Amino acid sequence: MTTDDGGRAPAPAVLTREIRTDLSDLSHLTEAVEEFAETHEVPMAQAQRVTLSLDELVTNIIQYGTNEESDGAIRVRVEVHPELVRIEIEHRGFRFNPFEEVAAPDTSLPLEERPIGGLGVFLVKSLMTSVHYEHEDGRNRVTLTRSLETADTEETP
Amino acid sequence: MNLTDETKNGVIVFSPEGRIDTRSSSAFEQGVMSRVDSAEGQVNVVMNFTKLDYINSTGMRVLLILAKRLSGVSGKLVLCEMKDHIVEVFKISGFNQILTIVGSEEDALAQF
Repeated sequence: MTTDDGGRAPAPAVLTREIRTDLSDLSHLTEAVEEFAETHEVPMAQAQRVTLSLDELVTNIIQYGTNEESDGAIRVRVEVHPELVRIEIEHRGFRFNPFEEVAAPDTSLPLEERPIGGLGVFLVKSLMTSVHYEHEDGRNRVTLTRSLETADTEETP
Repeated sequence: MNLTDETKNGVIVFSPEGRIDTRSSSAFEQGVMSRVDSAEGQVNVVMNFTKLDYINSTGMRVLLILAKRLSGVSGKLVLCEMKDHIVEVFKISGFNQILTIVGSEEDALAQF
């Protein structure tokens, strides 16, 4: 990767929050992220994708990710760059990679055979441009990016 | 989230308002299912999403439970007036294949 000093990217707008593993904290967080995205002129369709993805992953941490290793806190960082939005979600706990360990639902099954649930992580993978997981020093960290360069009316698979 | 319902031509029309997220989805489930369970025989339902700004997978799970419940009594669930970003998520999930999604409430009521 080369650095072009003449065209240095402006500093991103940053929002950081630490919430408890609590659903009412999560509702406040998603509202704050929506407002932050709107303030920084992220197109509405993209802001919705980002908010939903964040919501789905934090929901999973609150519902399934708390154990004796957890300290009951989740740290979130959202950066709005001119060309992308980057989200980092971090919490203490056992290694758990949602992108590998949660089975994707079969979206072609008829109603009667469709399992109830298992949709959240699949939505995140579909709505984000990239997803990344790492476990370091007892902490799970997920990094999501959503490119803003594609058109709003982009067809999704 | 606020949930109101009315009956039109024998069809229960629900209008959820605001956000259905992980916190509010249990209230949504309870409100919808208690109304549906109190009806007799074949039950047909329209969800009018005009005032719905947001729904996550826990709310979509409720719709799946409802659709299965209705098909058990030869009833049907039809969704209408959905915002574009909600339609996108339903398409990705394949929900447009298993649920009936139409434009207006008039179109929805014409499905029965």
